[in-house]
Order: sequence, then structure tokens, then C-alpha cells
Amino acid sequence: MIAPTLTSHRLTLRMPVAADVEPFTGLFPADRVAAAGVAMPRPDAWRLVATALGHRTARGHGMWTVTLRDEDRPVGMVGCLRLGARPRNEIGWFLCGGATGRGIATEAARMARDWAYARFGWTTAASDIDAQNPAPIRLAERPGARPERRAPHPKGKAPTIVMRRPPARALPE
Amino acid sequence: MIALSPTPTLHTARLTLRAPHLSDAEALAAFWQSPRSLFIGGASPADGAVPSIQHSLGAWALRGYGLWTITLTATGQPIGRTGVLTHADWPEPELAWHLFDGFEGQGLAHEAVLAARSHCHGALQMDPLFSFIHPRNHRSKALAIRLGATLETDTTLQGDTIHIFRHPGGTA
Repeated sequence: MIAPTLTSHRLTLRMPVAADVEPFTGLFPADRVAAAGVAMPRPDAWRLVATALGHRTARGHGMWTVTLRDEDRPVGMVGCLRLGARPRNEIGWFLCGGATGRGIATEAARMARDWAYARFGWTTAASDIDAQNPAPIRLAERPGARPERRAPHPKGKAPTIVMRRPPARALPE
Repeated sequence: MIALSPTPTLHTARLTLRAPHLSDAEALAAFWQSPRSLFIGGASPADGAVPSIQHSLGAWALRGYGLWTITLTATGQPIGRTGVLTHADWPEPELAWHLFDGFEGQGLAHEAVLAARSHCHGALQMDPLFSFIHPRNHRSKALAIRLGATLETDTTLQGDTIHIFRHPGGTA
């Protein structure tokens, strides 16, 4: 199976598809919109979906589209990533505006992390988060990640905080 | 690699056109850092190569067409890219190509683009494709003409005047 569909009692994590481009267009989460100043234009949404598929093709792991179980409407993306010129294991996510505040990102990030630990032998992972943005930092802390260090943003934006995920052996069974 | 992108492998006398691969990143980054990329947008950050490769793979998965990496069959060395691009502000799918440093003047681009174009017009049944070519990109213009393409019109792209060359249909 090239891209397993993961399910929890509330969520389905499935392969991104072309039909996700429209719902993601203009629906980037409110905090990111504020940071970037604009909603995600359609070309960026297309690029996001294409790059997510390409990451999975190239590496065997990557982003899933998150939907509420039994609905196919995308509410965001989550995944295990290796990005950049010196890649390291990362957990990344975003949610569309209306989906925040319900624990969806926490649940989805935990599912992605557990999958990467189990299937790809990852022993830890990082999440780089805008240091000015408290909500995702709190979210990363919930499944046990701790701030590791501050880091410059790869594109020279606001400083980033690196959240270190707990090692696999420290997780409850 | 997993079989998610439906990129076919094409063979010519000297070349193999295959799906982009992360191992192409170094050659692609070097190309973008060189003056050779001037007419297709110019220098990109060195770490832009991996996302670009992933983007190409995703384009194949989403659209069923995209860019191939051109390699020398004898050695496997990547020497450039060709195939179909559809950027956001593009009017229609474009037949694009670029060769990395050191591989010009041997007819390799002609060989590669012809194979890509034949596949697009044939197996993929695409309408006759066009190519954007910067008016000062004389080597690319010469190749377009050698490929049988004709200057259709000029337009403006990202603030610059640019030629639109139209390719003949069919698989020749």
C-alpha cells in the first residue's frame, strides 16, 4: 500500500487529491492568514497539494489530507516530512479556519507521528513553529513536545521555535 | 520512490527521459545558480531544487503530465529537463525544456524534446503545445524552429515581452 488511509474515531487521514485544491484556496488558517497578510491563493493551494503528493512519491511518507470521518471535506493537512537541503524528521500540519479549537490538529499530528515512528522507524521528530504564534506551540506541547531552541525562519520571516517530539520509547503504549 | 506518479519512461537513441528523482537535486540546483537559468526566471535558492522535484512529481500525479528528467542512457547522468508545465498564470500547458551546463551543441535537447512532444501529442492526445521563449534566448528559439514550431504571437509574462511559439501537432 503506497499511502495508507489512517482513521481515528473522528478523523480520516487520506491521500491528497486534486479536489482538495478548491477547499484549501482562501481557507488557510486564521493565524497563518494574519501572519502572511493574505489568504492562500489558488496557485499556492495547487502547489501545496502537488508538492505533498510529490513528497510522498519521492520518500514514501508525507502529508495526508485530514477530513472528518465519514465526510470527505478537507479540514487541513498533516504529515511527516523531510524538507530542505539538510532534511530532518518533521511533523507538520495546518487546519482550515473553521476546524480549529476542537483538538483536531492534536489528534491528527499524533496519528502522523505514531505512523512515522511505527512504519519508518523514526525515533523523534521536530515541528518548527512561528515563535509569535502561541496556539500551535501549545498544541505541540499537548502530545509531549518541548521547546528545543529558537531558529531563524528558512525564508527570513519571524523567528521560529523548534518543538522536539518525545522519543518513541517515551510514549505510552 | 513509490509508484504514485504515472510518469512513463521514454527512450531515444542516446537518452532516457524518466520521472524526476530526488537525486536530481544537485544538478538542478547548480543549473538554477548558473546564468543558464536567466531566461526561465533566474537564480532560485539552492534548497528550492527538492521542492521543485516534488512539485513535478505531484503534477504528474494530479494532471497526468509534467516534466521528465533527461538522462544520458549510457551513464544515467541527468542533463536537463523537458515536458509539460502549467504554472498558475500560464494560459495553457507549455512544452518546456532546459539543458544543464556542458550538454549543448550535440542535438540532445532536440532529441529529448521531440520524444516528449511526441508522447504528449500522441499517447496523451494533447492539443498542439506552445512554448514561451524569451526573445534574447537565441539557442532556445533556434531549437523551437528546428522542432517545426512557429512564432505565433508575443505576450507579456511577469513584466517581460515573451514569444509564444506553437508546435506542430502529431507525433513526428
